[in-house]
Amino acid sequence: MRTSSVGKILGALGLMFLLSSPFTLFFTSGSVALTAAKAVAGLVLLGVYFATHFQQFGQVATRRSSFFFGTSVLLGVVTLGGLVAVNYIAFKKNKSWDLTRAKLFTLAPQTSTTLGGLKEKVHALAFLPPSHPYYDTVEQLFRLYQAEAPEKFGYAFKDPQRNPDLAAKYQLKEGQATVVLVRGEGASASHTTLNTISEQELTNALIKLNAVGTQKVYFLTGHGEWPLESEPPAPGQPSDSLSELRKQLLQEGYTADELNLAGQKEVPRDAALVIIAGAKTPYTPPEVEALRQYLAAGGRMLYFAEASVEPKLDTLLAEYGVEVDKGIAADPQFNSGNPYVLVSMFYGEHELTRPLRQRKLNLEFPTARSLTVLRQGMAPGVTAQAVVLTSPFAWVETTPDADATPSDGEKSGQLTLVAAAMRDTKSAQDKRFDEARVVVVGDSEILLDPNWGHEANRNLVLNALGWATNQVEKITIRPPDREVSTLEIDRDMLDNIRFVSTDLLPLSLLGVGLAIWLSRRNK
Amino acid sequence: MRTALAIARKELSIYFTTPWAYAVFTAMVGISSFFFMGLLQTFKDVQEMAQAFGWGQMPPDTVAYRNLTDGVVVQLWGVILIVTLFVAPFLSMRLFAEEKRNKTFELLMTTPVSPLELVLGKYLGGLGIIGATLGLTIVFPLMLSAFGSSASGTVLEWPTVLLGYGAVLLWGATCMAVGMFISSLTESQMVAALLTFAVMLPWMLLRGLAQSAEEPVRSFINYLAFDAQLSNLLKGVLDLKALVFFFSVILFSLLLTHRTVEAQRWA
Repeated sequence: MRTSSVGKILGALGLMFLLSSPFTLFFTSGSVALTAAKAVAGLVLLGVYFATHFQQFGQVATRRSSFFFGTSVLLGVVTLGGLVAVNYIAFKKNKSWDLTRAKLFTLAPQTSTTLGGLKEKVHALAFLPPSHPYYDTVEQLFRLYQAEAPEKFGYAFKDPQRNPDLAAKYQLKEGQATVVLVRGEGASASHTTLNTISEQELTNALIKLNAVGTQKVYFLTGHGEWPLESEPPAPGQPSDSLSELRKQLLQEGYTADELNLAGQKEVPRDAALVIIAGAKTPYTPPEVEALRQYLAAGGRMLYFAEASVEPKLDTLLAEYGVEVDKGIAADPQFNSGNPYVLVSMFYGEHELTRPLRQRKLNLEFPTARSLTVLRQGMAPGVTAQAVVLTSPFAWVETTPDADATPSDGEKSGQLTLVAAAMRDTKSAQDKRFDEARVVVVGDSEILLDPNWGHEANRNLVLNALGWATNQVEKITIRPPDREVSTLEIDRDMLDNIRFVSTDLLPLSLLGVGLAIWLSRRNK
Repeated sequence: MRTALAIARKELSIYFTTPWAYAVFTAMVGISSFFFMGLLQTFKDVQEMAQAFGWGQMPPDTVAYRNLTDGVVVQLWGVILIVTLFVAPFLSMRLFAEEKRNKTFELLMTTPVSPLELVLGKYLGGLGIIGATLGLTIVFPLMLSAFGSSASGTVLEWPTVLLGYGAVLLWGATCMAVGMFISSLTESQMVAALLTFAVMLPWMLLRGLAQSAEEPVRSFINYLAFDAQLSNLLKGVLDLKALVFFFSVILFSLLLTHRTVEAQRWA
């Protein structure tokens, strides 16, 4: 075979290698090394072609047509460059007009207002693999949000399998379609997650993220409450602090701080929530009075009881319809091997536990106090409700060290473990919020670092926190829809339409064509 | 421009006096009406089911069948886009290839007609014939408008219907531009048609490749895919970037055709 023929074949192969190298990178192996090897091999083979046809090129260069070819290539490249630039600008600064009557593809006014009111840029991270069926839908939604407020909303897609560290950081479950909204950067970043992705959910998540950023949560101290951070524990010993809870609060956008009420006349004005986590010594009357005034003005409080101690808050709690029973709750059937370590899947009808009920999660209380929801003797405007209960077989063990069986005089039946109360404070003087909210939980140990890994308990605490601090009503965005239109035709009419469209119309056109063909043939 | 219009008029008169064009019209209407009846029957069945059980009990994927615009017309335009993919190459194939095969192309080049006028004239002629072919399909929404009913009295959302129709025409115009360029490269009409189809089909379905790609490659491929660019227009959203993209493809195809025609003078 002649050298020029071999050169031609090699050149063709080289061109094939070179042109298909992006395909290797993006669609087949994804290997940069293989792509580079293919591209280099292609260039070498093309080089062989040029070397074997060098003389021919020299002749062509002198031809008149070469000038035309050169200018054409130049013109093509310049035009293509211009068009690419115009398209790039159009892509980046796209304008679109929703011509549908119900504005089906336009964001709701509530969303526009929410985006406009964002204090900091929010970044949405969608943990979806590229092959996920909702990928395009979510991207379209994000694009609308970004077009509405480019400086306040950004987004990115992350494949959870390729970014396991990031997925772990946000505690995402495998196979779950999740969007994480992150506000701020670094240590001060706060985030919230959502699983169902719709405009309503996304906008509500933005509202939540925008609102919680400024909320301060105070942990009361001075009465043996669990500390936010403790001294390093002895080797092998678990840390009895609330550092994991604190970390979670920071991630959720709250600021956590300690507060000692001794010598204070009132709870600070910036308190969005006060938490009493396992107080072991009695509160003084001025401290109780400060809490009473705080709640009467629409304050929010979470109280986590500690076993076998009385911090003298019973009068205050009774005003909010909750009494902490003397003794420890026990259950012979729904426990985790010890009648005092209760397992509960019994939820009251309350929005606080709705997500837990939906996910059928079992709560676990290491040593819980049971509660009584009072029906009288409360402060005006208070309504209290049982939120989490034991099984119907439980009882209150008043002498847990002596025996673990129900005795005469001990309360038994389905006991309350978590209760929530609300009080209308719209007309209160110097009010903080329109409504006071109190959640009483029969166990404080669920907050400790070693127990924080229990998913159901963590959900309970965070839901209680969210419910108690909730100041923003969720908005409802009704998905717009086109007007319902019907086709009022009977079977005969449908047959007529079928006849016209599939029979008469095509045949008429065919007939015209036939007539033209015949008339031309006869000419 | 007057010369270009004269060429376009001549092209159109040739098209409309050949039985070939009517065969294409028949195919377009026949296939479209077949799908139209299928969609109409499905729409009617879903509506009857919804009347019996209520829309709340219906599966989520039946939501499009709440109205004729989404349930029939938007879906019909989607079908017509695919049919156009098959029809357009047969309309564009003869634009230059026929002239070359009949050896009239050299003759044409000796006339005082500039290559630009020739290309524009041929393209306008092609645009006329694809417009006429696709124009026949407007009869389907008109029929729906005549037989359907709704609470407000307007059966179809005409802005959405017409924007979708505009998208179909834009797609047809793009197919004709690419087809004309390919036709200018060969003297075999069949080769021109097959090549046009071979180029347009993968280009149309490029979006499928994007499914497995990550950003920013995904966005890049989606931008190049005709299918992705048309999806918003079909739903009733006028997208500026889609218009820019389609006009860019048309413009570049016309430029390439012009250079190919011009090359005859320099060969």
